[in-house]
Amino acid sequence: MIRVSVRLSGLLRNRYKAGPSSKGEEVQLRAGSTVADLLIEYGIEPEKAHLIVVNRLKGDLSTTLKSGDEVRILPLAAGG
Amino acid sequence: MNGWMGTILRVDLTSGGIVKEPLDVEMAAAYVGGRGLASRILYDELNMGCDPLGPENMLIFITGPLTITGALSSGRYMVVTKSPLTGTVCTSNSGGYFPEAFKTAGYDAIVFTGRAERPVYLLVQDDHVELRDASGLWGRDVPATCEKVRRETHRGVRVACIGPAGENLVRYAAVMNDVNRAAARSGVGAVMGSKNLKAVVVRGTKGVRVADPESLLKSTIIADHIKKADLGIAFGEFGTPLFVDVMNANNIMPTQNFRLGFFEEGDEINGAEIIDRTLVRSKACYGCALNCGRNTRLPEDSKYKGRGDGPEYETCFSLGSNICVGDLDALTRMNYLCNEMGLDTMDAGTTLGTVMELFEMGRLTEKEIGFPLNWGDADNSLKLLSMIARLEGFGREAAMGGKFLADAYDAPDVFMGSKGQGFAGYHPRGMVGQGLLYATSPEGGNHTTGNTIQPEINGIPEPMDPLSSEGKAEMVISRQDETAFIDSCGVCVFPYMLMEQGTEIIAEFYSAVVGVTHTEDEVRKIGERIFNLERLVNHRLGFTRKDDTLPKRLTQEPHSEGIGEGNTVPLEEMLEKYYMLRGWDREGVPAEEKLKELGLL
Repeated sequence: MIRVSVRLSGLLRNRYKAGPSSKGEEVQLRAGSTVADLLIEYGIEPEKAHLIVVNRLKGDLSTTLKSGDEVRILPLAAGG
Repeated sequence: MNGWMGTILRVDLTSGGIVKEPLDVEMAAAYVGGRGLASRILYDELNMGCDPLGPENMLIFITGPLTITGALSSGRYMVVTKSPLTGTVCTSNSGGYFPEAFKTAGYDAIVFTGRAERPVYLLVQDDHVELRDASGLWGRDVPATCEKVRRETHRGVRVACIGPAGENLVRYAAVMNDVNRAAARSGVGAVMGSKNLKAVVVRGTKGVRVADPESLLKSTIIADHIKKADLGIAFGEFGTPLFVDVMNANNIMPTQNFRLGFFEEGDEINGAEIIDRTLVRSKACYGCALNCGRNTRLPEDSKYKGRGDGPEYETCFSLGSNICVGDLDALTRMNYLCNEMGLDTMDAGTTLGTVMELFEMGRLTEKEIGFPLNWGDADNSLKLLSMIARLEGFGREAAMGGKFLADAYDAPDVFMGSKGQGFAGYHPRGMVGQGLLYATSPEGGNHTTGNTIQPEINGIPEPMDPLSSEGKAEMVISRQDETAFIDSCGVCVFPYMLMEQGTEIIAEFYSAVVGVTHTEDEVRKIGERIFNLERLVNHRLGFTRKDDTLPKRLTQEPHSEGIGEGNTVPLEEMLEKYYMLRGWDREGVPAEEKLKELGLL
């Protein structure tokens, strides 16, 4: 198993297991899991994950995760 | 007339003379309203060499033909003048409910000239217009001014006013309306202060004629779509601070005076944290479905106190990440202070960023400032903001802005802005088109003349590499022209710039309101005319290619760790192409052929 830290942004924060006021949480996944697996774990449809950032770099659904990774999942948003 | 009210109010503050003048119909068709029409008035009438804070400068309050017509998000007005911060034409935009009262009083624009001998305010109640003594208001902050004016006049009036910062000619003083909304940028509040004009107070009962109300009903359908779409829901729920997460994740949240693109404490000052800690309710401007405003209150357990509006995303950047303040309460208190004093939070933050870097370098010392000002020091930042608004101690120098300080302390590269105005919260090293936009914006470091987030970050309408110069000149030109038209209509750019079909929709609304069919291409052309006109005004004011610059930090220092690491802004390359595509010469001056094509010659 691996443990990754997850941050869900905007409307996706409602999917936090610890409730929407969580500021990020750790989740356990099977070794070899990808971002797509992480989305399944949280019940997030892939098309809602507009931006995937792993360890401050752009990732995608196929990015393989390892223990200690920091993943940010963001829906579509725009500037103001 | 359809859309326009048909009357411009001219107020000579020196003589006290007030004249109502019919709107020039041809001029309105060519330049629409808002920044377009106002820039034309400046082009025709302003003594370009005038001191921006002298009586000769003109100060224009203006709506557009679509303002309060039922077109989507149409509660906007602009304040247009020669900026004391940049020396350029400037067009500061605000929403709220003041624009509704202003337009229903029966006027498209109010043009102020001269300087009143003593403080005055202008009271407009439909046809009744008078200048009133404002000596009892002078020195009061924004909430107190609004309250006193209401008591003196009518509970139903809407007030645009300046606070102590505007009275004291702080170069980035705002015009505040409806207490908490701001035509914030470029020092329009200082121009108002220089004219001894404390407030513009309006109440109107007239209607706006629309040529084809049925077609305009489409607005309600679109509003409904927006309210049901994820992005629309998120806008209402989180407001613009939603973007803290987006900018941070993309490594474009300017941090520590633009050294970095990522703020470690971003999650402490984002939209979610505002909901969990300070939000009282979200609020909308007149006729808007987005509800992106934040009415907030500092919690009882906070060391800071107060209630007001904000912060918006730009303030989360300017008084947050930019100066490394990761404390939402402190940031909110700074925002309230700026609103009360009538200060632009954005240049307040970029000025503080400049001071902090100068302090770190040892160019400014504790002796000069009066206290140390290290990165992240919220309490001393609050102290300095208050001193700036009141011109106390070092505040007198800091009131001149970041560029002034960077030049005065012999470190010009430390100021993060263009043409003297501080940048907004988008780091150009991670989205280079935004760099071109800042360099070519008529008023310098400004994000409202054509934000590039949608194409560069969200990939709408088509994905483009934010780090590459490819296609950026074309994209920036198109965003600038579209925004120039949207602003001139008197509507908010948000929904139109967010929707893929925004320009098509604004063309439809414009056609429905004024009763003359305009295609998407035609409104783009009008936008291009307006943008070129602003360039011409700036050229007359002495601005050329030498002023279309970015600081070395953006063009030479490699981007910080994360997405886009190592990137810089290839400004010269983009600029070359930009001028060529604009039909401007190599000095950035619109060529005769282009001016003829646009009907500007």
